Amino acid sequence: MKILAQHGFGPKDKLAEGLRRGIIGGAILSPRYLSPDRMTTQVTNIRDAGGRVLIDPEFYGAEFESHPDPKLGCLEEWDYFEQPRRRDLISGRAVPGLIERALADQLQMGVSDWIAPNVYVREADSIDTAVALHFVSQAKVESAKLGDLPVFATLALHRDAILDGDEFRGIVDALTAIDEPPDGYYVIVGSNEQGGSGKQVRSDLYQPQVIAGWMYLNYVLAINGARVINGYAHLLSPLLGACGAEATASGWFSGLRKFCIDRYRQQQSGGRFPRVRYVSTSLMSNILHTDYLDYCGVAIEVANDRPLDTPYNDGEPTRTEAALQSWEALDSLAQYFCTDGVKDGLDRLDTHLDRAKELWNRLSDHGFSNEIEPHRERVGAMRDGIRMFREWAELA
Amino acid sequence: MTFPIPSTTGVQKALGLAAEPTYIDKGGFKAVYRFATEDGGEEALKAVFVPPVGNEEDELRREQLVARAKREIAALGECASPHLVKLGGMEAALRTIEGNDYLMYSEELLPGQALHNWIGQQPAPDYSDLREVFTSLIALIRELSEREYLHRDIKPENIMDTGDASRRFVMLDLGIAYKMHGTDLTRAGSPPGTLRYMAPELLQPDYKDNMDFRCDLYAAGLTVYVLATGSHPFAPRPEADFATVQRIMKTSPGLLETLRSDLPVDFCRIIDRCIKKKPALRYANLDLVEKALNEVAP
Repeated sequence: MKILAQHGFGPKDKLAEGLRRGIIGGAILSPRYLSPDRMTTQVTNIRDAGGRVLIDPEFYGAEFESHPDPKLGCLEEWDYFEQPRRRDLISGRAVPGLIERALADQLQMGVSDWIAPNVYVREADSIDTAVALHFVSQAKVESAKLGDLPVFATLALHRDAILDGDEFRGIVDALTAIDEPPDGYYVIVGSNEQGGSGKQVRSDLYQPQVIAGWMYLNYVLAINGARVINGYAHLLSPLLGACGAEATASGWFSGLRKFCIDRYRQQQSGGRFPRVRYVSTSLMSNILHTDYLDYCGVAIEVANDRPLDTPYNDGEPTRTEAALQSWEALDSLAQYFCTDGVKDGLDRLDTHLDRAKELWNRLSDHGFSNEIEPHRERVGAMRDGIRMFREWAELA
Repeated sequence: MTFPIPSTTGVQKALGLAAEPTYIDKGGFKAVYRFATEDGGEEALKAVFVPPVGNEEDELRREQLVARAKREIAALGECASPHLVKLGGMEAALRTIEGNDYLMYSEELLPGQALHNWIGQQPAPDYSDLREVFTSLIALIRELSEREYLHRDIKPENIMDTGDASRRFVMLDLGIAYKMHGTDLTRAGSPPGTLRYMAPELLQPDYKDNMDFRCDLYAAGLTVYVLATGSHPFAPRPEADFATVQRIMKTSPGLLETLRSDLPVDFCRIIDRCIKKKPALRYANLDLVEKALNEVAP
């Protein structure tokens, strides 16, 4: 499985360096941060560096077009980014044209694969689900008119849509029964909280049923021949990869590591500049760089022992170094856990997560208290999520 | 379900047959006979009981059965699959025999024995036989699903081993074939079919919203599983229906690869996947099944 860069504000040299080092396979670019002109240049740069490049049309953000205080960035400069009348979405009338415009724009930019637009689904049993299925079922039909690039249908679900277990499984059933399915899916699972603050609390995505559902979606789609790319996956990457994901994406700040639809409107709070973190594979967590050396003093295995540890050992790493370190860590996790056999990968993850929890316990016993409980809970949620996934996938 | 089975002499008289037919079997509201045709051959004669109109409920049942039989006949006439029994020379007609109404028509008479005779036999069916049963069923399900039909009663009792290499396994009985998007002819409540071979989604109250070819795929996989292992994973012995329902919904059958280690592992995995409880975990289309089968050495 490959790790892709989830593009956002301030990429600087992160993408080029990630590609050069071979720790990312490409990028999912954001039209919110790139006007059409700048997008062309960015696409060309990544392709010239041998990377795979996709553009997330972020159409799900169009619902905020009429919001009193939207935060859509460059999205409004794109032709396809226009919220049609709701009744035209519900009837499906607006769907083919929307897909066609979004894919045509991407084609012009020179992408490697298409990502077809879709709406955001907050509840599984909702009209939005029906609209989303219109988009998915039309993605291949419309892409075939434009060319033969693989098309990935966006599936953007709020976590609550997964928590409604029976209805969620109904969506998954419906996806497997589409007559002309897309080549793959670009899956995003949204949180209630917007990222960006320095405070690391347990995300509401790290809930066993949400994790299990996200894994189940990957698994079902993959066993039925679909390719799956997961956006904003970050530390869930190895779990999703073990279930058959082709790629996952993560970015360089919290808002690019977990998705929240509220990013498309202004927030009351300004948020703080994010603190630099280190992704420890043995802890399965992002830890503050200020804790990194302290933890290593107690348990050297907190360090990944990879080339990009060096800046952390020497002081405060730059933002670019921190981004690269996180991709390097995710890539190594992907290499280890995303094997051909689902059961093997899950067994290894179980063992790894148990060790991670033990390691957190050791750190706790040693007197460290900073953020330990949320980290430990998150690791426990992953472990429980895998157990639940095995039941859903009838692998138990 | 019980119904008056017409006597062989009654059938002979009603149809004006030269010789008395031979009673073979019954199922649901249908009796089956063997009879000699005018050209010296033999066909299977089916007599579908049509209940008298006594009250509103009977009227509903009568209409249902007539429509069901007509569907069966239409389905048989449309399908070209060699794995489905062919219509005979007698066109469907409503007849009164011994005071009861029956819809009567004929089908080809297939030689051989039904596959439920294989269950528990020693040695157990080998890979070659099991694969051929499965591929025949997949070909039939494909034909039916392309015509927007579901069979909904695939089970060993309905599959004949004809012994004819050109069409060895043939499915009998399309009596409950379900024309999707067509008129709903089944009554409210439980779906028609044989409980032991019903896919879990058919046991849900909203089963009509959820069923597609994957419930036939499930029954095909379960048929092969039962033939291979010699026992039914959800109904190992006679018991109350609710117990069987519970097992269908909750019990995970043992992996075929562990129960029949002599079979190719990948073949076992295909069968195991077909009998997953959630339709999404089975195969999303029949091309995927055939691709998987082609990757297992014959």
